Amino acid sequence: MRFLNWLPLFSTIIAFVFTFFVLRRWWLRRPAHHLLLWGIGLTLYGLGTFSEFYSTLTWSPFVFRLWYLCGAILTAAWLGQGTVYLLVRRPYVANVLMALLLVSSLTAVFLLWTTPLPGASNFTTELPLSDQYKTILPQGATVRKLTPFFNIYGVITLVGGAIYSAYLFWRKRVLPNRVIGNVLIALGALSPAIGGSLARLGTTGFLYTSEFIGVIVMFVGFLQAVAKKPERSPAPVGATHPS
Amino acid sequence: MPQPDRDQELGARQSSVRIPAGSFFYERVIPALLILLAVMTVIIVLLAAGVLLGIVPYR
Repeated sequence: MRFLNWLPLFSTIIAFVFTFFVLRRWWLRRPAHHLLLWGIGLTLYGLGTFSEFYSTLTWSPFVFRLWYLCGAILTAAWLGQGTVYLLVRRPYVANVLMALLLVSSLTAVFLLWTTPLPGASNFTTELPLSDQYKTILPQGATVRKLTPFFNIYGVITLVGGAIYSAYLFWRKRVLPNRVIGNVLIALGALSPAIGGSLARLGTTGFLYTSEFIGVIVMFVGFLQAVAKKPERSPAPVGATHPS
Repeated sequence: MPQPDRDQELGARQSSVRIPAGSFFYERVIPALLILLAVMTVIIVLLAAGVLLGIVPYR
């Protein structure tokens, strides 16, 4: 098996370790909705990368749909929704966005599982899914038209939220670990976003590497951001930190 | 001598919560990184919007 095919497995392991750290933190600080949503988002990340690895071994329509659902549609949006809960000061706004995301996600699940996969007979374990999904899933399928909505929402909220938070801490000249942590989270989140965008434009080879780099950089950023909890730490209003 | 120790400890704690003044990394590198990240975010969002609107070809 090529090294590239092992990358999704490594990404999966790191994603689930990261999930464990985030959900353990959520459990200790309940109800902390942002941590729960980040945990869900990272679980989706891990399921997406595991589906990629599984597809290097054999074909499964269920795993293919799981890959498309987690990898292409949901992950960024659910991670970003966690940041929305952290940054938006009015809970009802975050709750309304959460309800919209939930309904949209269920719609995506329904559409994806009711869409036939006419190109499945062309599948080969020799090529990454990112090279093959366009021939497996019909070009005009409604579910494919949904992905940009989720991705735009995910990139704006997750990456934009991390940049905004880093800026707030930087401007207040406090908590340098959280400035760096948020910069790394933004960088890590951008990596698979760039890989996914390139895949959409026809350059598919970078996707698995970008996911691997992305989850590592985000994990390091998260650890950096939560590394210290000084008693005298006036956090800037609205700033995000994985508390 | 407990007092100097306490002062050192307080100084160490302060330095961990404050961005060091005059630091090239925090004065130059971080702002440049934030601008770069923001620009990349805008490009990715525009690209996704372009695909959505049919402006950017979807291969």
